[in-house]
Amino acid sequence: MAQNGLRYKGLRRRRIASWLGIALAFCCAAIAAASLLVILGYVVVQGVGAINFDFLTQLPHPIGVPGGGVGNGILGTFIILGIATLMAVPIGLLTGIYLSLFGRGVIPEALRFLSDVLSGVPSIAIGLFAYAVLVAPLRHFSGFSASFAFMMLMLPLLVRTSEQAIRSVPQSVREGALALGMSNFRATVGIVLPTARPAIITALLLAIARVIGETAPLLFTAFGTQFWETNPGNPMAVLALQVFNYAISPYATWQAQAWGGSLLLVGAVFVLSLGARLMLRRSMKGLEA
Amino acid sequence: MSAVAAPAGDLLAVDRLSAYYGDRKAVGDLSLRFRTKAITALIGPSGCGKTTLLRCLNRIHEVSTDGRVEGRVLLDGTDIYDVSVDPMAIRRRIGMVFQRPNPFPTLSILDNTLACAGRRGMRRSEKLAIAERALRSAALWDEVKDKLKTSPLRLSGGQQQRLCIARAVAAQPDVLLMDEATASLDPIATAVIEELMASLSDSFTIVAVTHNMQQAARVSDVTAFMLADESGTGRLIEVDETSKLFTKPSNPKTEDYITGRFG
Repeated sequence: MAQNGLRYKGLRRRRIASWLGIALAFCCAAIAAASLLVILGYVVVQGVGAINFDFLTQLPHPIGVPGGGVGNGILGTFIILGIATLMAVPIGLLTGIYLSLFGRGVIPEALRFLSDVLSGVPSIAIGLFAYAVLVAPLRHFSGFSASFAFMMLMLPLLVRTSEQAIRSVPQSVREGALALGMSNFRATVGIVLPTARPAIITALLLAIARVIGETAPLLFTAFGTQFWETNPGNPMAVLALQVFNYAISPYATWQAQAWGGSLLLVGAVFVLSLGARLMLRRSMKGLEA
Repeated sequence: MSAVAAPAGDLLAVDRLSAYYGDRKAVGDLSLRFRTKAITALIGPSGCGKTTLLRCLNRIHEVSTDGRVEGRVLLDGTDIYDVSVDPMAIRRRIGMVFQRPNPFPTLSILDNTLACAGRRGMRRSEKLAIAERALRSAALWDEVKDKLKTSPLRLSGGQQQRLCIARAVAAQPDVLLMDEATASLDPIATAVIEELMASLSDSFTIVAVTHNMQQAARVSDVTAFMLADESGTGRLIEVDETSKLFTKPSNPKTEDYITGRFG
């Protein structure tokens, strides 16, 4: 082979360059993974000692009184996220359906552009907006205004991912429904949406994971309270806000509880992300089949 | 040149039909009558507009991006492209089976079959009777009768395609369009579908696109040969009784195609 000119030239040099490239890529990946694991590990180590039944179920105690928990913050987080989800899902899903069905033209393109811009707006600016349109005119903080801010943060992700989820359903399925004489609406709602459901739920879980740890908008909206509060018309405790307030306090017991709250938030994001991955895998399997 | 093989009064006909994708003309000025309760095969090389023509027959072409049509498609003498005509009503009378099986993945076998069959408020026993009739006519009942509630994705490709035929038949159309319905199937499944087509032609007017000339010769009563011209526009070259077209074609281009000189 060496005689007929087919042999690689500089094979040894190429092999060394190849191995160096692979080693460099591996090192970069290891650094990225290690930083994430270190952060996770640190939060777990610092926070796990604070977590117990009382921490999950009790109200915060005043300074100097041992124990206490973030029960009202957990409840407030559920209520505010629940209301935000109820507001964001119909708007995001219907916009996604609109974009997937009538995706061309000035209005859909403008919607996509605005959605992309909104996804890049800092959460503190969204919080200020919620303050300006809800808190200031009504003259009091409320859980509902926090839900409104969370909805604004969830919407861009929901709109674009639900559009993609609906588009990912094979055109043949949609045409199969239309060819049977179904209306566009019935084909979309009865056939296409159920097929895209796992991907849409994935988008929703990711959107919730995106906002669950947001604190900045809560400073101007939910404001926080030391008591049990289930009425979203009033100021409400939220876990992320409690973590913020405890973390900047000078008291060691509160700082320990801030780590505990952080661990709960990280755990929630972990579970939501894992759920999203499982749903996405199921969705891909269904579409491939 | 278009020819007409069957006498006037046929259920389905196209009259000077042109189909476009944006500015591109995919089918040009085509006229053809489809014999009622018989199988008409559309043959021709890739890109000659067979599938586009088929998709014009139930207005699915206009669902495509930039798809539009000029000319007329007549069903029982009514132009289905007339502004007063409801495309959904047309599609209920002209069913379609696609190249690849496309059962609805989230519905059961039974619900797939009944996706557009029957009417609102119908009793369960009546629905089951419709499903059984449709699945029997698609030669699938014996294979699925014990698993009607399971996902259609558990069926083989051939069974899924027969389910799609059952789904189309259950809606009780007058015409059945089949777009290379056996292209993705193995020879055994293909043979089953071909037998099915022959039996369904007693009840339905069938228009089938096929790349397979042997299949056209085996199953169809009438064959139409299409070919793209220099500009890429599909034209009807010849239409005749299948037995005559494959033995004594009147157009030299048809002869060249069926003898394998091109395509």
